[in-house]
Amino acid sequence: MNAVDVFRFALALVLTPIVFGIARRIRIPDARIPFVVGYVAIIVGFAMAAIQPLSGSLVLRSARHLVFSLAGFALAWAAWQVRTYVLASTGERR
Amino acid sequence: MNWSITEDILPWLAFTTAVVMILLVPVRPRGAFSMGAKWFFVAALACYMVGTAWSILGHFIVRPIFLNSIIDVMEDLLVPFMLFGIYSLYARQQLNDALAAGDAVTRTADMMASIVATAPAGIVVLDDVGRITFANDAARGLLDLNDDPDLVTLKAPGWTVRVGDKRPAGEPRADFADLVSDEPASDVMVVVEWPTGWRRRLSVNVEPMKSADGRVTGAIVAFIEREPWRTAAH
Repeated sequence: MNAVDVFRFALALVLTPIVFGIARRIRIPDARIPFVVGYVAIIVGFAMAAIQPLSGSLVLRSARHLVFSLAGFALAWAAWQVRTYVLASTGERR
Repeated sequence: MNWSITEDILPWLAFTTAVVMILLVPVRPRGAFSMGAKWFFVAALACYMVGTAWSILGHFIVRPIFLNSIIDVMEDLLVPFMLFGIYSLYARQQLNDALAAGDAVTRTADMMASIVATAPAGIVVLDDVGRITFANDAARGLLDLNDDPDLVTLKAPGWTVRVGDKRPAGEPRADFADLVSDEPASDVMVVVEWPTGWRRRLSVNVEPMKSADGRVTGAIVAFIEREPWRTAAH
């Protein structure tokens, strides 16, 4: 078990209620689902790296990278929704 | 070189896409997505973009060990930076709400000031003892009011005010104190008499002003002239 991975996972887990508590007050509804998917995927990825039985096997290591990829793409999707919202709110086209 | 698409390229591509998407979000003046939020999100996702790129680079070169530690620390910053970004977005959203509320109040105040200034009826604001603290142009004309540079109240030309036009009427006073009460009133007859004997008979509506604890702090008085009276001497 790598101490850095455990610290990373613990930090993310502790900050999760604060992140979601603030995020739910932000009025960009279309970005909520992709953001939640992305953030949860990051937590799951951290957990897979930190928890020993999950971090050992080659298959799970590949799965962890896939989960991180999902997180990255989901956050990219959330960013796109924010962009759409900003452009729509200022009356601009994409 | 045993790099793979799943472990190396795909995560790098995902986080690079996320960084590019964040960079493509425009920052507008008074928009919720502030420059602070943008760069915190960019920093958060760039931590992983750099981390995955560093991982790919490891297949081609021998990476210095101290840089590995730095990259590890950078990856720890993903969630805190994301939290800062979200908080920046939220704080700007709250600030914008407050600014929009302030703008709405200013617009309403400007509109009310225009209505008061252009109304043909006289409108005055009284303090708690009946002195005039504000008068629109019509009221200034009807009551011969002038600004007093030494006081916050307006200067009257020495007239007296009597509430009620029939006997027995209220005692004449040098102010509108008889109109200050905790009840609104409408179509109250008020006679204003100048030292020269000239009188105006006014029809007055009164709305009390109250503090948060219900104390009467003054009144808003609107009036029109019924018909000018002259004394028998005139």
